[in-house]
Amino acid sequence: MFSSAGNGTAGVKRPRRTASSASLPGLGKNDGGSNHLPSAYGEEDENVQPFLDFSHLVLRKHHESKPLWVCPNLRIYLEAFSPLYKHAYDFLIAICEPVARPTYVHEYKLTSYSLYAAVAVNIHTEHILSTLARFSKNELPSEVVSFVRRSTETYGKAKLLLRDNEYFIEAESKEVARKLLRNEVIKSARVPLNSGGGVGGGGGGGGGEGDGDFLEGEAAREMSENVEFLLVGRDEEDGDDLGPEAMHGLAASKTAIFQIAKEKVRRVKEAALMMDPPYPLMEEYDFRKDAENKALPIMLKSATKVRTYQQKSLRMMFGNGRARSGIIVLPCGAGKTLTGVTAASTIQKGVIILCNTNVSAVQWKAQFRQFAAIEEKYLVKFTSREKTLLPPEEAVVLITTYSMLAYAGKRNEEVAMILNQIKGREWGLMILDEVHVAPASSFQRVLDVVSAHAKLGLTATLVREDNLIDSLNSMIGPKLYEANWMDLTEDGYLANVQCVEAWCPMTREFFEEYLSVPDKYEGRDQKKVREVLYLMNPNKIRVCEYLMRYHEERGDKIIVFSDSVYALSKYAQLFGRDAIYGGTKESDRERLLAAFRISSRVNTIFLSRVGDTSIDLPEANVIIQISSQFGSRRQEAQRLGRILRPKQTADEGFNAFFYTLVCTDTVEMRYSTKRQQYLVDQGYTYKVIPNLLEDAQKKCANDPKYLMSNLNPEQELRLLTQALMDANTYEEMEAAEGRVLQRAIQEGEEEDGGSDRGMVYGGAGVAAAGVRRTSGSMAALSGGQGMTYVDAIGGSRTGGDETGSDNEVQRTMLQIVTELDGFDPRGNIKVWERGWEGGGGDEGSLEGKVAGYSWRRSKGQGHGGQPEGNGRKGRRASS
Amino acid sequence: MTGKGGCDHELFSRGKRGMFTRKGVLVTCDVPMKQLIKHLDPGNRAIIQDLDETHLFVDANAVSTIKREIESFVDKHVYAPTPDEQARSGKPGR
Repeated sequence: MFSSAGNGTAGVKRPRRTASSASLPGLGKNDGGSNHLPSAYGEEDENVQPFLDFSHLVLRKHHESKPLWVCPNLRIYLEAFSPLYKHAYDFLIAICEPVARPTYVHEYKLTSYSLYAAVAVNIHTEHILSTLARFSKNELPSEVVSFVRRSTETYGKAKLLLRDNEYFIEAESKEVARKLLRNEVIKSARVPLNSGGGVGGGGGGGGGEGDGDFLEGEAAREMSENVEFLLVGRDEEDGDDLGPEAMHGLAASKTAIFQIAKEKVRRVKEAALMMDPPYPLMEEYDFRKDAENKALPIMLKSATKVRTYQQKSLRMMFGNGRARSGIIVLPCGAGKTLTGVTAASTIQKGVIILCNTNVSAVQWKAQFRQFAAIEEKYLVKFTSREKTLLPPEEAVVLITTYSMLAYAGKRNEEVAMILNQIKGREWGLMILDEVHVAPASSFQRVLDVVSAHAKLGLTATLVREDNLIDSLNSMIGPKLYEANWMDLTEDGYLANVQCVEAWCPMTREFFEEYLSVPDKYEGRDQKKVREVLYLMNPNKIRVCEYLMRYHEERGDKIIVFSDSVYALSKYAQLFGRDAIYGGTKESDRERLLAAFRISSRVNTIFLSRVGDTSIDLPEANVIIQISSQFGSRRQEAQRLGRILRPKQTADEGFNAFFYTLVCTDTVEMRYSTKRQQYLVDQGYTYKVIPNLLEDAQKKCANDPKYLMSNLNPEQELRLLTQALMDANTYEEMEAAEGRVLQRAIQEGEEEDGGSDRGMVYGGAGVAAAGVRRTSGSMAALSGGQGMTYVDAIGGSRTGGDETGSDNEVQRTMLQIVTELDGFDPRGNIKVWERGWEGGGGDEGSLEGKVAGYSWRRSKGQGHGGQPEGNGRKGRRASS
Repeated sequence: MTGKGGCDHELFSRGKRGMFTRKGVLVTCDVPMKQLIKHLDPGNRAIIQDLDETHLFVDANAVSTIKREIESFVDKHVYAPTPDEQARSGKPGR
């Protein structure tokens, strides 16, 4: 009946979005998700939305009680309010990729990768189709049926099996095995059955076609929990008689197994992929039958609680009694580490864990100690700081970093020895933490060094702005499980976060400069100058301080994120708070983090990009984002992850806040919207506050505590000149940070597709490697020593009394404002008077001056200009 | 101007010799927008009088140009997925 629709997604083109969302019968009713619906259509062209007419789809009987719309363009819509939601969700997550999951209607799409993953967990073509049909409101469109058939035809038919240290190919049937053996490469890699005895005489492969040459095996059974949804809703009118018996009958059929030579495994894998049609070999590790590799004495502690969704994800991995390779996607803070630890204690063989930073390596080790009963000697760390030889003849948990293994340059003797040890072993499981970060090339090198039977990738955000996700599929395996953020939030596993985008208008001087950048800064990196301008925008500083103090007064723990180290250290200095960035010493870093965790006096910490991942601050519940890595959706999600750990206070509503400060009328607006896309798709809503500055100004107009907010125009101007002067230092600092990060995670590959990203941190780092600091005092002021410096002038923060903190802020502030006026380069004598009316050498009187800011401000600032009902073209005011 | 202000008053400004008149429009806008308009008109040919932080008196003939320029400036900062990005994220597998 769909023959008229042809191959593609048939439809009449019409230019308006609104028309297309109305085209789906029934869906328009659901307000919550309706703004996401149009995204399914016509993503190809932003101006001309193709209108897809699905009115020809035939509704099935009892369609009201079914949860799914299955559309010919391979999109599937799930009604999240349906009583069958949980089952349908489990099913869809196994066969599709989630596109958007807002409150009421979720959108999924079928891709060949997702179907590959489905087949990997033993859901076969007919099961996919029959289950889909059962959940669907409409008859399955022929496009969907043929796509599923085409994609799954050859998938999952052959598996690469490791047993007793020998590689086998397990084919679903003898026909498939024969088909594979017709390939020259595979044929030559085959090890004849009785080669050990040498009597088989199959050397020439003459008897290759005989059935006797295959070992017979029984296909592994899938756990019933994993395929539970196949049975749900089967009753009723659906007469199809695929009972559980029949289903398991299929799974328990005989398979054909033949052995292949170990050294040719990689070529066989490639050859199988190149076949037409391709037979991707799925890797499975029969760890229970592996007698060769030493067992690792590890068990989960009895007190360790594995949450339901963690169990679910692990069931996907170990569903048939073997270990599958693949990727598990869990939101940050949802316990990825525990999932990894559990997987390790299930396999109980040598485990190698790859982290992206030393910090997270430390954390993995701590978590192993916390969750699992394992002797200390089996936990080995191999990082730039800690190099221990592996105990010979013992299976261990080895925690290391990508860069340690992937570094291609010369290694010292000790490292080389350990590397050889790693190379010489067979690892039962390789856990790849933050798998989305690892760039393809270093990844490949890691895979060359480590031969692991099973690979488990862990990540929170399977998005990258480049195409690496595709290659992850072939290098590690299919995505096995992806949790729904909103479900976890509802169940209390994640904090309930309010996302806020706070608009900060540029001040007059800064905006003037911003506009004239193309004229004034020819030959310089204009993007960078602009960036300095919107980062140091005094209004942004005001709003930041306002939010910071507001939440500090509430007793919250606040992280302020800045991608730019320059802004980071400036802001931290201004507010007299501590900052951690790439150049921070390990000891300092740990001290600062500990203070933040424990002390009730240290409630705010400033973090650079090093804090995006892996720094574990479970207490934090507020994030203020002052600068970010352009339009990176991943970074946004990861920063959010810092405050996702469930909070003690079980209040209704929001218990965590995520602020992004955005300068209006600058490119930041654009980046900001782009960054939000991923989280919006996960069901988060961003609240835009356009007039926070007014609140801030009202609140702190007469409050001397808000030093920065009471800057007068003159001082703003100095800030501007300072910012512009520092643009050079700035570049250098960012480059230095880039280098640090590059060392840490080898982020050499460009991640953001290049289009939106002005600076290539890695690249800039290399380029600027030879740059020397020329202006000594200026560099010292804002450069590497910045933090110790603030500590020095800030005085002891922990030992002070109640009033001490305010004094300290004032002193720091004072110092900095003074320094904005400049150092005397020879004598390091501060020029206290310049720029101030009257002078005064002693601190007391100057403090009075600082407090006096407020009198002057009210005149100069004159803020009647914000028109109410701001109709500025935000994306929410869609035209 | 794109919702940021309105052209509320039309006035006549008098040239120096009293003979020459120009039709002017009072523009109310926020601080950055005023800066943008000034930036668009470096020679002050369209701007007759800079009144205060949020008000400008401009030549009536320039209004449409200013409107257009502001529109395009603001548009630059609105994110809409480009076809390329969409194709990438919505790619149907191999």
